[in-house]
Amino acid sequence: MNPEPQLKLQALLDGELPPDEARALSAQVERDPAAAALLAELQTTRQTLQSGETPATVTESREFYWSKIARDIARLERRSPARQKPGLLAWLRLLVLPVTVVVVLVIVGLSLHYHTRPDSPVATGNQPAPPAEPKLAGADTTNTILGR
Amino acid sequence: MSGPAYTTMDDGELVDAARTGQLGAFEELVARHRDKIFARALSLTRNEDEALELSQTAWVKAWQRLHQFQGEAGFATWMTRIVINLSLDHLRRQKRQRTDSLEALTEDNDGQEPALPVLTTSPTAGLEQQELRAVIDQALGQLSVEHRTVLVLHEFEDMNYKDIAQSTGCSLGTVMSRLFYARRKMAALLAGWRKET
Repeated sequence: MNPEPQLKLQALLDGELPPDEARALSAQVERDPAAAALLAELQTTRQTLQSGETPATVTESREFYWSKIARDIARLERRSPARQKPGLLAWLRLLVLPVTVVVVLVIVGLSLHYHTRPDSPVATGNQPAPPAEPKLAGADTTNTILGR
Repeated sequence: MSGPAYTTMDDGELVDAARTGQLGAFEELVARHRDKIFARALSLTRNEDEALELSQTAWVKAWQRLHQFQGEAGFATWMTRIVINLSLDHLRRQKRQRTDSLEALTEDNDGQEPALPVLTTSPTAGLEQQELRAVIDQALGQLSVEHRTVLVLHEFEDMNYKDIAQSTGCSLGTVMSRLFYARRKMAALLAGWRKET
């Protein structure tokens, strides 16, 4: 028998064939003694194996077996940055972004507030009067002295 | 929580407790399932020391991945998959280290196995359960790693072809071929045992 029909027979045994194909192959097996014999052998081997796995048990005590696992878990926990307490520098790093955001928001807020105030020159469209020219102390006196 | 309280909890409750960092709950899960996990590693590696280490590594991995456990399958099934994957990785590493072995050569000849006569009677009929297990164990030990792996995953873990292909990184055809020849070899080995006795 060629390998492919043999693998099909096995697939039939393992329930891996589509129903139509399985029905057709089952009918074919009934007419083919060699195929039937092979199928029977595969079935016997499968049943034998499924009924006979040797149970294995850990010979170490519960405490000893667990101690290595617990040690490795503890080592992992120490390495994991997510579970470490952040230091001062880490706290500062954590604070940089929120503080920056707050400062920017305050600046933007103040700026908006200034520009939207009713008496704000920007809001009223009035330009502020130029500041009065400061009088120089003693200017008149100087002119008098110069004879103007 | 004290130790005895954990013993009254089911696996799902223990997983939930372990997820909150309760190591005692996880220890209870280990105690409950350690034999099964060790047995699976042993059936694949056939080496007690390696199986013990792989099983312990599997538990550590499980602790790290507890958040991934969805509870669709049982906890023991989920754990078994972890130890199977670790064992297969381990076997792959071993195989890479002995590329010049005879086993590596025969691996490429999956499609050209020697023809074996079809057995018409069960060679293990009439054996006591304990005796049967010993015979099967001995026969499994004589298979190649590749043949034993598919046989263990299919017969002991009830994995289908597709899942085995995924776990082993092989094509579906290779899985089918390996399983077929593994079964035929097992049948021949068991028949050989009957002749010896």
